[in-house]
Amino acid sequence: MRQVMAVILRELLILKRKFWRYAFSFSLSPLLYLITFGWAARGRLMSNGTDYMTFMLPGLIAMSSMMNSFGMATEINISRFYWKTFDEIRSAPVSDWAYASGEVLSGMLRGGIAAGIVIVLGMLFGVSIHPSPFLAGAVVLTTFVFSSLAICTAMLARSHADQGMLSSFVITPMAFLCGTFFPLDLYPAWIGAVVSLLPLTPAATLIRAAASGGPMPAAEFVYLCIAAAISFSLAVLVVRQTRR
Amino acid sequence: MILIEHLTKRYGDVTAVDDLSLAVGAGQAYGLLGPNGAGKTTTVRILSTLTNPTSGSASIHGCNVVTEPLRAKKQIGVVHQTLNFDPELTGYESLYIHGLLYGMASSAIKRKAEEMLDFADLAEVQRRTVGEYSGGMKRRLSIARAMMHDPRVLLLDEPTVGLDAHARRRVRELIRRLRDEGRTIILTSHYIDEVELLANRVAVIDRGRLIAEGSPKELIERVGRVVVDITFPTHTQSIFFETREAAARHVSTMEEATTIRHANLEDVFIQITGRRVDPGNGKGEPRHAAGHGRHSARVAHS
Repeated sequence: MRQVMAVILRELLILKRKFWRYAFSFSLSPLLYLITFGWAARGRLMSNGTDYMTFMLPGLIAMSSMMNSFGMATEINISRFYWKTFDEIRSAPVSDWAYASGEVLSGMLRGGIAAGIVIVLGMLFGVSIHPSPFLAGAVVLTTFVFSSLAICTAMLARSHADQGMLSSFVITPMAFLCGTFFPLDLYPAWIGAVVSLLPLTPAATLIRAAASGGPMPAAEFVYLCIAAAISFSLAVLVVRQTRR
Repeated sequence: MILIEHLTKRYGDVTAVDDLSLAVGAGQAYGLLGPNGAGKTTTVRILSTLTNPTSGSASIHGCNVVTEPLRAKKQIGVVHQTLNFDPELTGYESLYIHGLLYGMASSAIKRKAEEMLDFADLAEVQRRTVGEYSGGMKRRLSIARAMMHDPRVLLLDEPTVGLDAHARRRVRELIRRLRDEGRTIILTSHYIDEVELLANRVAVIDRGRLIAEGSPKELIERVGRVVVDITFPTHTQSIFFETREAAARHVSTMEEATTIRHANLEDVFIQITGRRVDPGNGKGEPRHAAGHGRHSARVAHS
């Protein structure tokens, strides 16, 4: 447990020291989306009668949770390729799962803060959501999955450029396509089928259900739990491979 | 005890370490001396479990570094060649996190961190972020960090590289104190004076192979304790003698400009390989051995 704490403490201390910089960076994209998409579509109703801003805000929470927990990949790569601090971890008697757990929890913390910032921004724009343990759980599950995937990609990347390409080609399309800004039924059937397989889609559905105070969508919950188990196991395996 | 047996590491076609065998006794300060690319850092990386060997084995106090890496890691403290600190963390925080990584309890970490910061003369700047530290301060902090968990073996990979003379002297003083405490130390360096000063046993490595081993004194005596450098317009010739008197007698018969000096490990390296350890530290072209001269003397040219 102390080794897990060491990894998290490092992240917490850096987060504390750069808190306002992080807070600004976590809020900039959601703020721009709220302004551009939200105000442009203000007053418009979705097919189920929901106001567009009320529809979009949970999507933004899901997107922000994903992007900022996945952002751990960049932090890990900076520590690997630039500061070389990963060598300290590699030469310490830290088990692979302890290191992976520490990084996942750090990523979840970042994703959780980012989600909280979106909720506050939504309130400033007059969109309130239904806070509940279900919503918190949905964000926790989402950030867990994407933090684990962040570790996998960070360990497999051979340079910063690799990481940047992955974000551009995988994460950015997911952020826009996975039911964050538009419901999936607007897509042609085959695109909808492909998009529904991506992990942000069930995350957005789960967070949207939680935010509206609706029932938990069981299929999406099970999907994310399986994705969490697989991605974390992969993260531990990839860490093991890289440390050797 | 550190035991390295037939260690080989290949990167594609390049052999970084070539059938290296060494034994380092407990409490020894053991220097790995060789030019850049000799395989010193690769050897340290294998010992610190950061790199797996292609073949052969290495163990630290009976723990095989490949098959029992977690046990081996607990026994070693590593000062990497690259300064690897988070610039946003303070010196104290860096040590604290290191302590946690090694499973130390919070109270023990606090006590040891204070002790190590005092030892490295960094107590006054412990609350400053490492990004504000000078290169010398970071080096001293890296030694303090490596000592946090009280390791039995300390691996120092080029601990003074890139430092100015003053900072280098302070880091060497820290290492000397650790050596005098009886800590087992493996030190890599291409600074001859550093190895002579700090190590009580030396392995000279070239192109991944062990080419000589012994105490600095033994190695120097193999070539001759006293050197006469004869300066010609185009090159310098070095002749080795057992005694200063023999060297002086030889010089008295010569008309060229000469210098008499004590032999050092650089001379040993040149005698064996015909090249300098640190080409950037030389006066010109690499010298090469030229066989044996009169009066139990050996001759080298540059």
